[in-house]
Amino acid sequence: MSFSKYLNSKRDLCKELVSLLSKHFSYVSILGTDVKGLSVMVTTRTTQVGDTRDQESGFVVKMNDGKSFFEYATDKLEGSMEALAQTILDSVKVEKSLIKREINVKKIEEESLVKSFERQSDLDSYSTEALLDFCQKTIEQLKKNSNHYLNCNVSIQTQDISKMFISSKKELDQAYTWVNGYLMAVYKNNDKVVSSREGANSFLMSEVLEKLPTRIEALTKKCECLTKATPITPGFYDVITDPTITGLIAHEAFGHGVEMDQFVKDRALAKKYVGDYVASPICNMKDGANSTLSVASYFFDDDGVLAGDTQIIKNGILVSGISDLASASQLETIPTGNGRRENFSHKAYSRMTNTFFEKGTDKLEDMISSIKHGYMLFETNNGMEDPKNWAIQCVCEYGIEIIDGKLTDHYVSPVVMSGYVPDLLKSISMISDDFNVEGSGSCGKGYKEWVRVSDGGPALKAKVKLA
Amino acid sequence: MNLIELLKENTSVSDYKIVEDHKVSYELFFVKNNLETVRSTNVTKTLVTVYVDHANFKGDAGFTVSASITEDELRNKIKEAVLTASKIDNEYYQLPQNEKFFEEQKTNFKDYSMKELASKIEGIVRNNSTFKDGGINALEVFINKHEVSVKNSCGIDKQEKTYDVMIEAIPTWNLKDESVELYQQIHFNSLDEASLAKQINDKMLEVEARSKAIKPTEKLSCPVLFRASELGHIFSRYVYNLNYASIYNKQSIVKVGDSIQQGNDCDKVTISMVGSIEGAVASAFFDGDGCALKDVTLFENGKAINAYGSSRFAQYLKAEPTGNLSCMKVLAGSLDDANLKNEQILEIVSMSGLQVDLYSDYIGGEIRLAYLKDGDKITPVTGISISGKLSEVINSLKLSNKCALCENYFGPTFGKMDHFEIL
Repeated sequence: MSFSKYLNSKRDLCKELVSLLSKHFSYVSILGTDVKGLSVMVTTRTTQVGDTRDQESGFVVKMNDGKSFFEYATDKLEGSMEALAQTILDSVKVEKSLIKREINVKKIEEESLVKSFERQSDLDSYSTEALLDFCQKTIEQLKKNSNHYLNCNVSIQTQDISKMFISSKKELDQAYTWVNGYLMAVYKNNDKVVSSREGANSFLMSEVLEKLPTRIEALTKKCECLTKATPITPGFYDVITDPTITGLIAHEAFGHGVEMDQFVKDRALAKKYVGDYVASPICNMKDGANSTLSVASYFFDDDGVLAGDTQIIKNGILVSGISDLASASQLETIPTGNGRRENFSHKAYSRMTNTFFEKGTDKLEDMISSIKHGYMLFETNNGMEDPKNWAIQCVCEYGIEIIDGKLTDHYVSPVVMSGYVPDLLKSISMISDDFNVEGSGSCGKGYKEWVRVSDGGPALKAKVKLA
Repeated sequence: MNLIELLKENTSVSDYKIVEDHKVSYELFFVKNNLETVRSTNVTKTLVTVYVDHANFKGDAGFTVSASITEDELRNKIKEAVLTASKIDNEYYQLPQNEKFFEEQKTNFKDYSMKELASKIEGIVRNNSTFKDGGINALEVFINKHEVSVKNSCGIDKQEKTYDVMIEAIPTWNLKDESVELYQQIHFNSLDEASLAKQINDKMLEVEARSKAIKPTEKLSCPVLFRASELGHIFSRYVYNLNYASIYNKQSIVKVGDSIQQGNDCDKVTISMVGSIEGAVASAFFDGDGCALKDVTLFENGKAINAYGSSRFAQYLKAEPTGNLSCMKVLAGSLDDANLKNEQILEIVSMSGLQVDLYSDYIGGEIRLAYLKDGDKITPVTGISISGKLSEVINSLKLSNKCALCENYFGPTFGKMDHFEIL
């Protein structure tokens, strides 16, 4: 895929608007987005083809003059830029009583940079009809695999992203793609109905189409095991986390906690603990659009800051947070390339990208064999952060009981893991030497502002509360 | 050439639907008492669905029309959608037909400009959250105005103007060496200053309580009291099972005729889905297909008696369309405050996220703040979690005899359930 022709056609208008608004503000930037998202979904009884929620096309202007930040978002950049500049100035005015309560920030300094970025993609080689045909054939294979399926679902979702950033010093553009494929099923046996899923994701469609059908057998087997799952007896257990649960812990425990807009608001306890042990000394954790290649890998963020690779925890010590332009300006730090918006019409916040624990030195089989009685936990369902008070809740789709160092065939589901973040992280005693990051997640800030994120890592051994 | 003319120009298009949402917003973001960001948006989103009838099927394919699209690109989008839809073998159905409608939601928001309203709301929040040791340390105010229209090729032409305000506030209480917070999101479509002030003030009292909360030293074994927000979430899981689309796709495990509560020791629930509740932001006059909304009682005395849903899936199931309803009404129960004085009870104030899963028959989650009530003694507690078997705890449900609005739920203000494991 190549960079959006539409955004290119608006490049000069953006420059003109930046120039006009620069008479009123020392910092003015425009982010233009042209994102196409296609969803093809075939279920047992219905088929849906259409755009995803990711679809967006528009512009957001950001302005600052040493006080509050001002933003104006529109889906139309046309006509007289002088008239639009006046509309923008009128639209972001505030009531007089609020003017004296504006924040103060240092003048925003940018380094000059003009650059285009593009990642290899094969989306152009696949028509919607070809994807529909793939989903239709795959669902037939899935249905043939078991007569216990009540409903199956095969879907492909694509993101084709073009973004352009213009300020007085910078002119950046980027084009890249991502593909998610899913198998989902509702399955009934032994009078019990369960639902489960398998997935594949990549920057290449060819990889997703190759991997997805190979997950059919695993899905059927997992569904059958889940029909025999029992509730867990609540208690404290030794556990091994699979990479998705490891990622969920990274995300909820210290991902949200180091988003530095929370530092500005004194909403994150982590602010006080930079330089202190917050986890077992064998733990290392990172976040960054440039840390690995996954769904949240971009070249520059929505503030025009180049993608980062931030070490958050080093040998158990909290090293750094992640920031957007506004929070870094207030904290007088350097933004880390984590300014992200749900879409052009939403505010940029400090957000996670690809967040993970780094791999360790233990063998997974040694980790399992070290547990007398416990569980191996699999597949994230959802989680919730509490950066101020360091409470954590991670919901796992299922667990498999470990007895005398061996995985049994006893499944428990669902499993809610909760506790106090430092207790959990300091209990980590083994980390496996393998590593996987899953690029199919979405993350909200509180209960809104959804962005695509990935998380993962190796397997961890820890002691946690399960219920 | 406009969009409708281009759709009509393609003779392979059997039907079409156009949904347009024009949103204007004004937004203020505060850090502590300072104004960090001011935002204004003016955005239109247009979604087009193209339908192609072939054999006994009705295939469809959708696309977004953005400002970036040219007439030629639009023509191509329609052509591609036709090609895709002609390969989709969805069971045949008819689109809603021949209704015209325009309505503007009643609201007192129109008494103010968006800027005045945002500033006024910030003032109410600030005036009711300023304490020596506590306050709101982050506040976001979103003032939104929507003009939504649904048009189709079968004579549906409906428009509604709606207004809403969303506040995200973080009440915080400071101790000597640490501070605690809770999360609050309030969503409304008409300004009731006294109600807003009370909600903020109540939350400040709760966050003060969290600062004093302790982890119980002994394992608790008592009934659990859920507030309206959690009750709405629990009931919504049952309601989902009675949506025509869930039934058609065989995702439901509760059928019409089933009783979800057994025995005689509980208040049997009566749940209706309705189009509109005064003050509820999800109130609407029609659904995404332009189908008129018709209120329906889904559960009566604990028994599923009806299902609900869109025109399309109603036709598939040969049922009456109600439209996709978003507001829930639940009848009051038998419990009053006095009933709660005589036993130990754990009243949930804030959870990390209540998990309710009918498939695995599970209800549970981590508690950020609860009140352990024992007669007149109230102890704020934290650091515990609850879990239970949904089909068992629902049989012990006792509902409050008073009702209140909470987001899109109007029903009992609290509900008591037993048989939870509290750890």
